[in-house]
Amino acid sequence: MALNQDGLIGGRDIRPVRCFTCGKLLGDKYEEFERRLKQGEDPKHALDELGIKRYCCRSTMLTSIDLTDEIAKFKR
Amino acid sequence: MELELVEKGDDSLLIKVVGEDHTLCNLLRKALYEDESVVAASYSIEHPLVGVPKFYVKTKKGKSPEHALMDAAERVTKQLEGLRKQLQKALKK
Amino acid sequence: MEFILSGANPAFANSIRRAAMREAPVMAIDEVEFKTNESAMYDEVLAHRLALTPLRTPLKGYVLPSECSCRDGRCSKCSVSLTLKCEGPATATSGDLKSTDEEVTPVSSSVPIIKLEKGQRLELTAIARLGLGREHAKWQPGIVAYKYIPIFKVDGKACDGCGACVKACPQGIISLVKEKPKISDPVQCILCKACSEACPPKAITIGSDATKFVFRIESTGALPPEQILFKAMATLEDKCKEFGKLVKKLKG
Repeated sequence: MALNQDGLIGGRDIRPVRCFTCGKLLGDKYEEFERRLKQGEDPKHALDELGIKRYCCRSTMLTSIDLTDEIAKFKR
Repeated sequence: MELELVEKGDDSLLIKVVGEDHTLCNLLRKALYEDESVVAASYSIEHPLVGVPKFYVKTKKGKSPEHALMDAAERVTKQLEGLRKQLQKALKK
Repeated sequence: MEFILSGANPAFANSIRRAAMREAPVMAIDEVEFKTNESAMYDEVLAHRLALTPLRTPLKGYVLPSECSCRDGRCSKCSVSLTLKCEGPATATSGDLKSTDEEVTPVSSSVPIIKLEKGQRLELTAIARLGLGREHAKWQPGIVAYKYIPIFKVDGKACDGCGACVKACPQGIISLVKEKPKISDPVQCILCKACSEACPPKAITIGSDATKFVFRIESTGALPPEQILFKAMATLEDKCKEFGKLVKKLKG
């Protein structure tokens, strides 16, 4: 993720399925979003292209910190 | 849906509308305002999660509050029916 | 879907909105039985993620568990079972869910459920049921919202045609026609009143028309938007009819 990992807020550490506020499905767009950011794309442009209009959905996408790879190493 | 009688006067009625919420009550309240023989119509839900709406209607002499409620329900039903038919037509196109 | 509702009042519009969000039944995963879960996440976290994954809902063929004759919500009339079997290294997605009814499948096949490392296995059976949005957000068929249509008034005497409102409008829908401002597309107006605030002679007043509403329905994909609206109106209609009958009974 492009964001600083120190900014971990509210346990948003796995990929969101839906927008926390409005309930729009975001899970299917998250991988694509991440891939685009890795390629150095501007988050604004990526969000616009993925059709994420509302600021609630946009902030859910931007502030989620993907730690799935980290977590997957551990047992429960 | 269930109705429970709380208080009944000559021209007023207070009922509990069990199992319903603002969706129905607010709609009926507004519909009652259109009725000229209705003096007052209101409802309250005392708790946002577990509250049961209490509906109050007061009418002028000549029309019972029950009658006013039935009329209001019928008016709204007709309005919705008309709208639903419009939608059906629009969808067929 | 976007449409204009006219000749209504705010209570009527709001009841339709509420009914659409709360009373139109859709399918969602309601119960999950885990056979194996060797992933890093707890069962309930995965169950939650599965529940939030929207499922396509057939219009006919299913009833609400509360109205079903089976009473335990497990028969084929009121429930669908979906199975998921996945072994790492892989990411288990909603596409891995195999449904017993081909009409009840995830809206999107690429919602990640959990990433599995090598050797980690996940096997589960999920039971999807119809439900109402008032019970849980997972059963909300979509987002329904409305806004008012503006009444844009310009005091012809006070307006000096300076064009400040044209620049101030964030939607860019005001233009000067014969040196007087006009709204080209009222539906686009967000009623922010930036135009009336920016106007130096205070010639613009913005009101809202309480009988006309612009509705927007954004479905999760579980039901087509027009069906959400249709179901909302039908349930509202039924409620009104039932209410009328009950009042009649009360009167005796």
